[in-house]
Amino acid sequence: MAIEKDLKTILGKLKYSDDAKVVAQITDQMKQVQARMAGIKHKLVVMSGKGGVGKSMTTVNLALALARQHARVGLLDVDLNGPCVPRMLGLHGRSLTMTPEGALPPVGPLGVKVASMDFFLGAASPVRWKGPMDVSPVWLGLMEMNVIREFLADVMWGELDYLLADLPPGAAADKPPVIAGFIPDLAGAIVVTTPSEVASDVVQKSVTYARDMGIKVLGIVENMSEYRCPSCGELNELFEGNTDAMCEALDLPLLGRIPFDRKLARTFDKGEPLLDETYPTIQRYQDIAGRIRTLLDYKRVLAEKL
Amino acid sequence: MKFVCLNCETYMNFEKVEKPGEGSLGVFFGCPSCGAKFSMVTNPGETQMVSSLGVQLGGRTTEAQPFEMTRGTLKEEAQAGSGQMAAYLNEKIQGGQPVAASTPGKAGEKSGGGCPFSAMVAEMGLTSSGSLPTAARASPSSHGALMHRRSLTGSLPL
Repeated sequence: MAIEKDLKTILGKLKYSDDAKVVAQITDQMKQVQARMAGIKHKLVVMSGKGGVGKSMTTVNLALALARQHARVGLLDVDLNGPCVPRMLGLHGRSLTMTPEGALPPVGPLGVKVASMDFFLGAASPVRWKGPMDVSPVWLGLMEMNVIREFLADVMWGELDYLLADLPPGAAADKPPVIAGFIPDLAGAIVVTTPSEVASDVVQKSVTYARDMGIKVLGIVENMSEYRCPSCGELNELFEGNTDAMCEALDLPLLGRIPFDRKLARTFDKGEPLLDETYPTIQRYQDIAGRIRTLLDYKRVLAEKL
Repeated sequence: MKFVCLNCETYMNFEKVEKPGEGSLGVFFGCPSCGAKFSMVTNPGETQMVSSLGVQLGGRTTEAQPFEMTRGTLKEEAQAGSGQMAAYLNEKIQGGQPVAASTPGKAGEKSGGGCPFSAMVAEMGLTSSGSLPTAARASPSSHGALMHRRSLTGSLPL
């Protein structure tokens, strides 16, 4: 009778070789992401544990605000299944220009470069994959992560001061903080919430999870703080939560409050965003963008001194 | 993934990849010492899992194109509708016999969830009562990659 072989002992004597070249290809993929991201000074993600709090509206307006402050800005719409950034910026129907070197992103208002899954889809088409695993949740997770990897590796952003990534909703391992972990040298995350207690609860979880992943959270933006009447401009409360208390509990700065502004929202719905920097709600975004810049500069100065 | 020749106590070398059938990969390994050959055969689902990593077994032979995987895997409008697995599950839910896994879904057909390997199991001949035909029952795992010695040729279901 043959003696039972001990695999652990056998493996201990063997040297691994990557003869199928799988490890080498994955290493190359990671290197390509690093190389593409190298020309971007500050990479930021905009996230929230809660859906419907206005992440995309915040991301788009922060990108425009930074562009108004003479920064070179890119905007990556990472919400693969609900991409809306192109429509908001009047870029729906456009596409990435494929070249052998990479994909050139369309340029939106104020020179903001945009990449989105929307550029691969028809007018009302959802994302649908082909193949025998097309509805398998296990495979979909793997596929989506690799699609995001292609967005990071293949889009030719060129030199940028800021790249803002609009992450999909989700609090924990079901993506956003994991996606953020893909981005090399991530400067930090901006978390969007509403003053609703329900949103605050979920947002706190996502902040905790992001921190567990080693992602620095720069601060909180409170969206839909109030309602701005389109007729008289008066501001009224929408919710009765306490974002200040949440910020204190999480030891995070409140970067600013944005009112629900129907007039502004409608311009983005139509793909003709209001760009007037004297408009009160846009001024609030400008202020938040200024605070983000200050935080990032402070971080840089601190890093240089240490 | 590596294979070890237990007789020679060494890693087997990756040799080549072939496509023995639609959606299937045959990955060949050989022992550098005794020359034993093995082929690992994947079912369509496993093949798709591998391709979703954006890697090619044995290394790339052509330069990668931007968004190669995204563009290659997105279903075009003309192909829209549910896939093989959803078609199978719909058929099962409706009480019919298993359909061939390659049967395309009808446009607008509702997609289902469930076991990611259902379609492959169907393709292997699993009946609605859950019994397996003899050949499939003899395989090590109807959900796993099917491995066989190259010398033991014979048509294993993929």
